[in-house]
Amino acid sequence: MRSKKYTGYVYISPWIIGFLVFTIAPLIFAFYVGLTEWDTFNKPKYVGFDNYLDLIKDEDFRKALWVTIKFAIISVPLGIATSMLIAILVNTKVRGVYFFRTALYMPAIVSGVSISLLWKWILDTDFGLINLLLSKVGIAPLGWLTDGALVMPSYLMMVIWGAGGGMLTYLAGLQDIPGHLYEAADIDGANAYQKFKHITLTMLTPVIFYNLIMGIVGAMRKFGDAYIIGGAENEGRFYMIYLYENAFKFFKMGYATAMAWILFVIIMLLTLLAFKSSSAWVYYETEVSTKKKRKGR
Amino acid sequence: MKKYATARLGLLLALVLAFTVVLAACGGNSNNGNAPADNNVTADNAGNAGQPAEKVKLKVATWAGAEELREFEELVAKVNASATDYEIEVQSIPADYYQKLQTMIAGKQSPDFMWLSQEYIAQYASLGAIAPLNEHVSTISNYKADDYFQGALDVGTYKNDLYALPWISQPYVLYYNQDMFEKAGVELPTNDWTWDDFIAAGKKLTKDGEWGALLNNIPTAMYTWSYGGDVFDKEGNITLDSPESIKGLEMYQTIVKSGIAPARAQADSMGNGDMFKTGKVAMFIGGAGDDFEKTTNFKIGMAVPPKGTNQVTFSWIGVTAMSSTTKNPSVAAKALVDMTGAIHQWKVVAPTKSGFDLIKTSRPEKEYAVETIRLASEFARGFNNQPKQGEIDGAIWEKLTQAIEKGDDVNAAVKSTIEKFNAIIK
Repeated sequence: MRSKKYTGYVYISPWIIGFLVFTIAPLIFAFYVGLTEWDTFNKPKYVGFDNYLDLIKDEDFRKALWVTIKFAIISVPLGIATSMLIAILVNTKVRGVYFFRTALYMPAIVSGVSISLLWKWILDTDFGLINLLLSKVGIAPLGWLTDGALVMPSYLMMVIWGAGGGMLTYLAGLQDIPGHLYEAADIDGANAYQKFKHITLTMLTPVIFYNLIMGIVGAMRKFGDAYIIGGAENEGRFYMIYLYENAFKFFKMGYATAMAWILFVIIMLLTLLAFKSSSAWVYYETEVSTKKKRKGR
Repeated sequence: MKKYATARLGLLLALVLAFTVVLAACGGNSNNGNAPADNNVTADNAGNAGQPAEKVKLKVATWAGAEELREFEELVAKVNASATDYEIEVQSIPADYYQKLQTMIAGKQSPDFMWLSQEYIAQYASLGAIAPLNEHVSTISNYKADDYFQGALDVGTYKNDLYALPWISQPYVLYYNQDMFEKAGVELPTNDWTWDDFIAAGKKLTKDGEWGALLNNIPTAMYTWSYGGDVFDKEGNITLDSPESIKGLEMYQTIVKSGIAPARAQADSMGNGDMFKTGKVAMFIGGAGDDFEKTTNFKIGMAVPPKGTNQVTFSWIGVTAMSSTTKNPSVAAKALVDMTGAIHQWKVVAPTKSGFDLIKTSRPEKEYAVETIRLASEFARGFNNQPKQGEIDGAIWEKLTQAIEKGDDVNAAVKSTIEKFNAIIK
């Protein structure tokens, strides 16, 4: 028996070793780096928690954190609502629905850099598509990326545009909902709103939950498009951008790593919060049916 | 029970996932960099020590890509062909150049030579990544310090030690659209123009959809130099609040307020050079090597930039520095001098007096302006770069340039910039 148990460990050892070497060891190293002043060229100098204390006083850090949290708070629900709406629309049986599904999913398969360059042009003050359309109705050009107040709305616009990419999971969730639930509701005389609220939305909660977690993690780690697009008055300087600047422009790897740890803690707390709240609103059909089966036995 | 167990397992997995995604990049870099690096160093050492007769193998990192890379590789091949004791290999890093360079140096895999833009020299020197060259180059016969324009050599110097050899120094000059001047009946710019003359002419040239000038390229520090001030002096003391510096910055605000130039955002989005090329602005201050002569269909003229009390201009200076970990510094320094000399025959504008006349043959379209460029080169200079120049540049842009352009009080902007400087330097 015992030897069989060890054989199992041998089989999974490639993964375990990989996990220890490439994940756990760098993590321990990263924690140490966060406690040092390290220009990357020379040996790290231990400074205790100075990096963390300096971060609290750093106005650029606070600004970057605020920009990122603001983005997360708005973009995550916005993304979820838009993706779900699109999924519901393309789940109907209308002509050409496959075309719409494909077209709406397109943003997800285009490379991030080209999307960023595309949006940089769309948002351009003088040559941009949006200002061109606005000019047709007599609205003066707006500085989407050059006016600090409009930078966040610009990024939110991009979230809505890319919502088709999130549609897929909702669509799969919608198609998993058994038709008999709606039939039963019809017999009970439920109206469309009641059916949506009590069946569609309820049955989709696991998908929403999944997208909520991924959305939070993604929003807090926003980097690629912001790196290319930027934005005036540091409104486009998200947390990861400032982290990157510290690591690779200012040669403050210790400081940057401390930032990474703070971000990790924030993401962990938010994830924890979401998980804690999930029992109140996420409905797992499988759990109920397993319970039923067990009871049946 | 099972529900809790599943939830816990899910929670654990999610945490691990979050953990990995957030930190993988930072942790991974240093680890991935370190391991293979040591192996290579050992291998190289063994190779060199065992066979002293073999040529010293050297690597030069460059941001050149495509056509520029091909030309550079040809140039290096020629240098190699005439060298007896070294062989240079080109390592092209056309994207994320400084990030990759930094990672290579951190991983003890530094290239022997690296192209640097001037703002990195003090930073790399203060961190010990690049080596002082004085003792090595002083014995090399074809290294002629006197031949370099002083401003170019200054940016390669940190704390009185030479760390890098400039291979290009493009002084900023004033290009003007002669047709627009003649149409508006305005006298052409001269080499003794002051900023006031510049504004006066600019006003006459500014009308609906056309502007007198475009200033975005000019680093804010250049206005302080114009009146004898500076952001930092050569010793690294902050001099941004000196009366001379303030005067220069006030002049900048006066120019902005005069309305002769389009707003920065507008000019940026239209492409600064393109606005000049398409005849939307009459005067453009930019690098002497720009290709306007070939791309415009109007008559183009060139003068040195306007002055305040001092005649000075900014220069975009590129250098090659030598790694502090190169194994045979004296041979490497010789290779660096040879290679840099060859680049002077290739890049326009060369930072040397002797390389200067080559403009006439390599860029015949610039012949009309050779004397102007020479004049500009003589008083052209770079920044007094500081070890934390990256952050300092950010502070200047955020606290100084934008504030001045918005019309904020210059003294207040200077004060808050210096506060930020002090926080950076501390």
